[in-house]
Amino acid sequence: MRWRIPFLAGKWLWHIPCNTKISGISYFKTSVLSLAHEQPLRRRRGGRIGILPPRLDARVIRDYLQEDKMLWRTIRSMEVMAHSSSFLLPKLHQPAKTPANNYTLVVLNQQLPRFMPRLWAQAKMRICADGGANRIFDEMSQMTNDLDRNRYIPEIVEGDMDSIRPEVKRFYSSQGSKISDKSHNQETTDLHKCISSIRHRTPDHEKANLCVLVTGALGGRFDHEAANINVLYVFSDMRIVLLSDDCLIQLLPKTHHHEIYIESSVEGPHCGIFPIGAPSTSTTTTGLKWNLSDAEMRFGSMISTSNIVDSDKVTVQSDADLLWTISLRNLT
Amino acid sequence: RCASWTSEAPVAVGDADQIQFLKHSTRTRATINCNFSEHAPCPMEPHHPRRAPTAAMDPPSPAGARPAMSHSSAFLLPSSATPAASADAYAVVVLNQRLPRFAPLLWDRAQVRVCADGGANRVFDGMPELLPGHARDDVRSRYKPDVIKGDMDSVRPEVKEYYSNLGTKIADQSHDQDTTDLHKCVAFITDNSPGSDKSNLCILVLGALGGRFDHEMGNINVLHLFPNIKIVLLSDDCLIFLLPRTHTHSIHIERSVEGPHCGLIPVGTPSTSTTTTGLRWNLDNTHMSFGGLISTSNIVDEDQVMVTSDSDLIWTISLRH
Repeated sequence: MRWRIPFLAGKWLWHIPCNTKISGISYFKTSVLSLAHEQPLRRRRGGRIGILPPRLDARVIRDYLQEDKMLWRTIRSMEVMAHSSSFLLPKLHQPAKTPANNYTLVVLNQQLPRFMPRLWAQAKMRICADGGANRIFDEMSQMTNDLDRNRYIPEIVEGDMDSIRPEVKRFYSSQGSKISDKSHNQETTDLHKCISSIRHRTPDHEKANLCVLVTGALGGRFDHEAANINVLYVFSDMRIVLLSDDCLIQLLPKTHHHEIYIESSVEGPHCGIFPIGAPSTSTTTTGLKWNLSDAEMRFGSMISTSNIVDSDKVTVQSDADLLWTISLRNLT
Repeated sequence: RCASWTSEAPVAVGDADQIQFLKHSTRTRATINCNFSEHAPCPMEPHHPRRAPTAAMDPPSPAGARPAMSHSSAFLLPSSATPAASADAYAVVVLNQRLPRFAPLLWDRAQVRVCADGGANRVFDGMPELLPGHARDDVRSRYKPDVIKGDMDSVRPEVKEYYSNLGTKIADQSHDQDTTDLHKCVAFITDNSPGSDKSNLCILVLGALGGRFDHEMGNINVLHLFPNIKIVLLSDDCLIFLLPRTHTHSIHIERSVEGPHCGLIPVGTPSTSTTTTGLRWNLDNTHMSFGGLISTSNIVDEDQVMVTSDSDLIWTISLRH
């Protein structure tokens, strides 16, 4: 699809079609390219002054771009996506301006991580997915030495309600949690339901700042873990971070150039990058002890495990969706 | 339930090996006649694709018939239940995570026992805990690894010395940082197992799942790196192994110890065509990929599950407590 943006400063701006391939780099829906070039004004039907678009295909675009090296360099560097685990820092140490502060917490049905009280306290909204409510009910008071369950009430309890105990459901319902019973929908996992309702509930202008932290998605049954990782791929335009006691994982979509800011007081040094969905023919990183340089990564061949972060900032650029993981230090 | 869900005998179209494939399925396969535009979505299995069904199997791939590979979890059965002469030679590898509750059973059944670095700590501490009725030293000398292998950065010095005094071989490979501990152990076992035919060998790995995710992925990659060796990763909750695309697979289900929850996951490469029998929600030439459909929270419906795919899949099944 092509759109025409109104005339700006004497140049016409074009959106390049969604999946134009230029010298092996593909651009997908979320990255927008602008190609500025001058066109003579021509008359269109109906007498309005407009532009007759040139036949833009890959070769034409490449020719235009090669004439303008600056533009080529701009297009080569895709939109940057920044990542930070500042949500793991204690409140006092939070940097002044952190988009990740505004996160929604989703609790799944596994033992709560050690740092749960901190995550709970700093969350904008808390959702328990089905049996996750049992976990909060049973384990939170032990972790905080606070016998008052009323202090840890999730805003929403959502899912197919086959794991949550009746007394737990009654308790949270009486304390004001919204019980969102989705048992009619057996096609998706509890995490999928929670993420899609978070997305549905968020107004469009806030979607870019949305960050969801999930506990209890890893470990346990392997098919559950795979389904939870698949949720990252299905909702690849959202920031979703899966957390466990030992590590965090998040998706690095191929549509962006990634900058990961390392909070070395809470995470690292062990990290890894995995092409779980499909192999990568070209991945480049900086900031790691064993960096990749236009490297091919594939299960059955090389994948980056037990790598070490060597700098405060790690950058990753790839032609495949990658899963990033970093170990967590002993947090409480 | 979908009103138009019908149960008919499967229609087998194709050559002989395709028919054989279907014969194993004793239960008829339902023909799915749902048209989602007409009524509310069917409560089908999670992640089942909404597509028009094909009543007939597609013709086999031009590559021809693939050899069959069979899988069984008989090693999980209590020792009284297994047949006296078992064809499989088992090896156990223990990685650095808490031992699952059936670790002593598998250890007893194995011919070779290898601890990968910190796995030796886990055996040292964990075996006496799992067998509380016996004296600690008796347990430790009975459950003594044959080899401790790896880069030796996690194993405690006193544990290393204890087993070394009992005769355990210590294979220090701290110079080799390119491969994971599990990779080293699997390579060691295959190099040292008798005979060139590895089809009887089955390596059981404890502690490969959970914990640090990059370790887990590295361990799953070892399954892909050794596709011709049977390697099973086990935890308290489930087991996983690789189904290489080069074979058609017949998985025998031991209902007393495993199931009913299972899944098929295309780790690493999408699958354009996977076909199964024996599951509650079978796949029929189905496309599977991350970002799309993967088969999780499926149920084993029969004692034999057959899988054929055009890409390597990870099979997982839950373990009963």
